[in-house]
Amino acid sequence: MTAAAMIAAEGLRVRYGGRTVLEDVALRLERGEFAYLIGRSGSGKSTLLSLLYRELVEFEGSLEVAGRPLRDYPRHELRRRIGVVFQSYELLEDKTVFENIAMAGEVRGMASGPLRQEIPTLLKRVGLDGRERDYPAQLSGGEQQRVAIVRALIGKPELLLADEPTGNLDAQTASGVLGLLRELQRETGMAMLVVTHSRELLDAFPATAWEIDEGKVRKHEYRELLR
Amino acid sequence: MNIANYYVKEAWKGVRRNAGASAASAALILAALLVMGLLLMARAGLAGVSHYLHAQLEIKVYVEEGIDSARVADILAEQPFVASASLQTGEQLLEQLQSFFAGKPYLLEAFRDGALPDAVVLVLKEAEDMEFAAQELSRMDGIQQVVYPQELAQQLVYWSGLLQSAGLAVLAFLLALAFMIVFLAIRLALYQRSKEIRLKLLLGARAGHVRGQFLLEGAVVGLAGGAGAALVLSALGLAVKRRLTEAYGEILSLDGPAIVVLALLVALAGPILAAAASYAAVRKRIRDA
Repeated sequence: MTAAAMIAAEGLRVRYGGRTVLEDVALRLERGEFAYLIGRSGSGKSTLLSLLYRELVEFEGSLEVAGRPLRDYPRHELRRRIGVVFQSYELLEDKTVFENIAMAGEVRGMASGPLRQEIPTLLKRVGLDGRERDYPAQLSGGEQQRVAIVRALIGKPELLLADEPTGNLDAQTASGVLGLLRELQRETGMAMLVVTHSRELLDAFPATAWEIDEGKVRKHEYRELLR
Repeated sequence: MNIANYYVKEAWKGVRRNAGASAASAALILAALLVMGLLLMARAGLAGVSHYLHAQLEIKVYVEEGIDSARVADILAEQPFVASASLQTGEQLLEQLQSFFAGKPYLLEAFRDGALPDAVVLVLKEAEDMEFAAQELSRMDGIQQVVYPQELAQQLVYWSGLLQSAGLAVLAFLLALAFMIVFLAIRLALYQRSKEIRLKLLLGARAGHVRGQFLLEGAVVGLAGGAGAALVLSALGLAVKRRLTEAYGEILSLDGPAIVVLALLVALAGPILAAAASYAAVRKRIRDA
């Protein structure tokens, strides 16, 4: 019996403000798979992600996460299975790097002992060794995004959603961050869905891409992207 | 338990972060609960004083000028409701006042200058006869004034009733103000920390836990105010009781342990009031989906 897909959408439809944002979307992300979600600005990429982490709740059709209908999940339970990385990093300015990351563990009930061991290890992995006591204002954009990635990973999620994680970064830094995400995905075996509109990143790190255009979705295999 | 520890720590951090608002809220809660405690204490204490006064058997009669007080005492001693009658001269009264105003001779001077009248002191057979006796004595020729404790008790009850009503109005105002201050302080905290709250929910925190953090914040502030009121109330109550007991014996129906219990109830009222205000502030702002 094959394991259920990490994300399985069928006939997905979202309307708000009198506009149909997503129309008859069918999308499937397998466990351990890395894929992109691409499309023009306003095409519905962030809407789909918002559905997945229950920021947005109204939809029609079928949407499952880890084999379970999304509507069956209590919000906090779903969000503990999913890590999210945002374009704007969403770090708290008045908390240190350590505190920003620890918050993700604390709301899940993780004890301070394991957090004190795990956080420095993860920070070292992403190239921020010894930066626990810095504040976000003391970090560059790329460094802040790496902190946000560590925060998303602290709960060992099965799925990581990255909403334009490189949107605020220069090309070189963006490439570094996406490369890090690919490496971490391979190391941890989690499924990962990255929203981007950067052609350069697709070329640099080819993978399956789901393209949203006028509310509908089309799948591109990575060979197609390389062309 | 880890989650509980986390939110207790977060609540404490929140109180410190808004130290000014927290202090103002605690002060207002202290004031409101102090008024409440004083009203309760006065009500309970006065009941005992009133009872004490009602139980007194002594009545003083002042005769008109020119009438022989000793002769009046002999006549009144034969009244059916009188157990005994004695004469208290002006000089004897002055001696009593000397001990009453001990250490404050300047207060006694005014009484020395004037001549204090003689009084006939009657001890009645039954306390229940007091009203009847006072009316009868007032109607008698030659009697200028009748003074009895129950009249004082009636005045005490009347004025304490007025004070209670005014006190309740002040209390209601202070409680409403304290509730509103805590409500606004928590709303301000919600606004200031909206990003943090959103982030916690995005990271998988339960909405109930996040709401609980703010309820705890309110409760901490309420406990500070309530504890302060309880301390002041205990000290005041015990001091007043000691002075009154030294002067008049056990006339208060409120004893030491009862004062302490009352103070503890006041202390508890603080966090309850503040938590209720916090709940009203966060109720619709942090929700589960």
